[in-house]
Amino acid sequence: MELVCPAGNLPALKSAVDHGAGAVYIGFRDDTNARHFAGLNFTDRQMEEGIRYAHARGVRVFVAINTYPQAAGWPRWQAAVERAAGLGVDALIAADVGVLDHACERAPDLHRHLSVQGSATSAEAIRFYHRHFDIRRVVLPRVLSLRQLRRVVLDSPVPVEVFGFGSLCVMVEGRCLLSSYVTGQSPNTCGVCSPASAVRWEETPAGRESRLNGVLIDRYGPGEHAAYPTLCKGRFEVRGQTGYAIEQPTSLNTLALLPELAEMGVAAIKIEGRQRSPAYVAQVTRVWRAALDACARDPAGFRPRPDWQAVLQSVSEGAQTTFGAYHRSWQ
Amino acid sequence: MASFRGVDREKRGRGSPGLPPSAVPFFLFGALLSRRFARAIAGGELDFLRDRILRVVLQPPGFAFDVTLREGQLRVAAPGGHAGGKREPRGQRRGERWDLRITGGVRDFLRLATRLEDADTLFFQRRLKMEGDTELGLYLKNFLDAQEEAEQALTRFAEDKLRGAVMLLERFENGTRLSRR
Amino acid sequence: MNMNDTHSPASMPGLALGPVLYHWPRETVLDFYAMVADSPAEIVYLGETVCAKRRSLRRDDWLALARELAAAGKEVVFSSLALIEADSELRSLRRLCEDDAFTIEANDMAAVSILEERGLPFVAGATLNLYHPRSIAVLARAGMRRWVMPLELSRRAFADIRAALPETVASEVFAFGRLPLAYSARCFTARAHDLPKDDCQLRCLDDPDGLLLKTREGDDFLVLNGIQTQSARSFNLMAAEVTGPPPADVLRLSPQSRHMPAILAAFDDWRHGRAGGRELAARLEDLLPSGSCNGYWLGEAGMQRLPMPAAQA
Repeated sequence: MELVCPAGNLPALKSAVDHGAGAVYIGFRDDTNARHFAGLNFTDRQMEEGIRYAHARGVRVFVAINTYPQAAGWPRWQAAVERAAGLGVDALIAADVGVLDHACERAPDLHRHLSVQGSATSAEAIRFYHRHFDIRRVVLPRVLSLRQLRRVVLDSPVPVEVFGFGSLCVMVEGRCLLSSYVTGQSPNTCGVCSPASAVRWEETPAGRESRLNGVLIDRYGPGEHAAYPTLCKGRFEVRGQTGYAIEQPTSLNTLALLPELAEMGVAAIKIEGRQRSPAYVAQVTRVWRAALDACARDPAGFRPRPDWQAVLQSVSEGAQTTFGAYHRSWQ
Repeated sequence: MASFRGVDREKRGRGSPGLPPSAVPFFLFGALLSRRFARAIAGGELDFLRDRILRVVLQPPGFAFDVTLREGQLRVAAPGGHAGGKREPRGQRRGERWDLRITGGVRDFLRLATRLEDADTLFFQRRLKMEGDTELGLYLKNFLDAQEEAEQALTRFAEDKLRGAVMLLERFENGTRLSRR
Repeated sequence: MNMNDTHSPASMPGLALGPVLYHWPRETVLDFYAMVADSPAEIVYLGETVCAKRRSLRRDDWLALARELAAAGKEVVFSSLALIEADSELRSLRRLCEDDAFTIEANDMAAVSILEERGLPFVAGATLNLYHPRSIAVLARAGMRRWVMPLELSRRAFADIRAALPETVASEVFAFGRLPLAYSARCFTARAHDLPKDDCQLRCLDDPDGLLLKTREGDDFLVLNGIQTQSARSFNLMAAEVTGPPPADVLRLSPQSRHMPAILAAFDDWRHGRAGGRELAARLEDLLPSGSCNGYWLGEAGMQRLPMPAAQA
């Protein structure tokens, strides 16, 4: 299984490459990708250097152009595809049907991967993209159980890439409008969720409050840690009770499932975290490289090492890890 | 000489423990930072700090300073030493103006500075606190993460040594802790 | 758009009732559609789009209902499940698509794939994420006959798309109702009752308009509807357009448990130019479970309830 690692900047890309990634995925410094954060991502020059660095060490580079353009901005997405092709990247990760269509027309030799933002949860959906755009790989949303995943991998006309580690999104990717309902910006339209520009923290007599565009997302007592107000991870009142009605901050970690994923025929493991630092990328890539190698050597005897898990736990949100949708009882 | 010592004692009596503001060469820090990030400043990558005030609070040991970008230079001053900045959220002392305040232990800042630690990790573990303009904080974090090794050999040397020192210190502490059991 | 109002019948939009998104008991559903048969709505969407475990109506019931509504002169469309996860759901989808008596609204690319292979025309649901002319062109070639605009898009985006819409494709906008905002593998209604999804006991039957979620300072914020999360505020296009309906071919009204006849009547008046949007929107405000919003259409955060813009060009 290929190890696909995130990089939000050049040092992170080099970290990933140096610590054993099989491929890195990156984005341009604009809203053509779903991690459009202040100061993150690559200029053309940085991308050029990153590609050179990676290719020299036998590592592939994928560029995410995976948001959904509207008519007014369409020329920028078209240009982004062409720039990526011109820079010699190994694959385009896209979700929008129009972007894929344009890529087929103007950069036919550039491999196309269907992004998790394309929200394809079944072999039949994958078939549509394969038929129209000859996609070489699909990244699956994190909503499927292990059994459902096996079914999709079996029936899929293209190799499958799954998220193995990182922050968890409880909603199916590509179809979540919660952020634009509250702030006017969503992953689809602007490449952001719960944007920092809408965040406010305030000390009040009732406690420390976090708000998103004025909406109270959570409130913390003196001993409690104030988390970033991602809006689905707040505490709300439902049926007279207050709590994490939608989701609490958790991270995905499928390390223990590696042998099963390999046996199923999963082609690649994706690590989430383009918004994280080079230190994170180094730590996580090192662990997953070691784990994948150990699993490949002896799948039957594979056990996640405690020191691996300790590292992964230390960089995780909520310092908890869960199998997410892979583990049925979570639902 | 006696009066000088007298002045120091007087200043130390006021406010938090630690070095008296007058004894710290803030302007030197500012000059060093401007040199370290000269290319980035020239490229406009630090524009998010222009005339905005970043307050860094090292707690422990209880020492703070303000950073801003003005006239193409990074400037460091004692808290309140720069003009501008937003008034801090209500409920705090009057006269405190900053746009973003980051609070953390000096050890954690050193780990951040030497790339041994990830800012989000410290945030999740409650070892780093951020208040005020979150977007400014994000710009800052992403800017620092994107920095490559210093170009000047001396700075590179110093940063390597610093990283080594932090790691050595931690190994020592872990060893001491273990041996105490 | 004609500033002088009074649309000629030729350009007047059709009214569609979207699929019932909530879990209503069988009798409630049948009563509802009896009302719909006599209502001014020309198009009716049937079927279960949220959760495959909801079986108030079986397949045969739905088909019988469809035939009745068709006999009453309505255009009937079967709306497919929005999120396909289990193999059983994929099989149900195939069965739905096999029957070519009625048009299907495809809410997932799996449905598009099946319908395209069978050469059947379809309605492209909002969750297919067709945000601009190029992606619409691809789906048009695949057999799309009507495009439903993604819910977060604005008046401006609609105008841009409409200007480039192929001849063969009609346009539909969500004009009224609590906005479906997200889908999950997790069932939030079950979670609110401390039940696992596999043993949910169909608690969503308790909530004819979904389960309200408030902020810690007591504001109505979102609604939990099984695996679907909705806005608490009901979008109302009448509160966002000064001169009358936009030039969409169809306006979709998403059913709520009460007052639908009044709501349908108001939209019917609006499209006929019998009354202005401001007046009609004010009339409806008290009939909405958490009041209205109009932000998305005006290019702002969806939850906003902005004052009606001055007459636009």
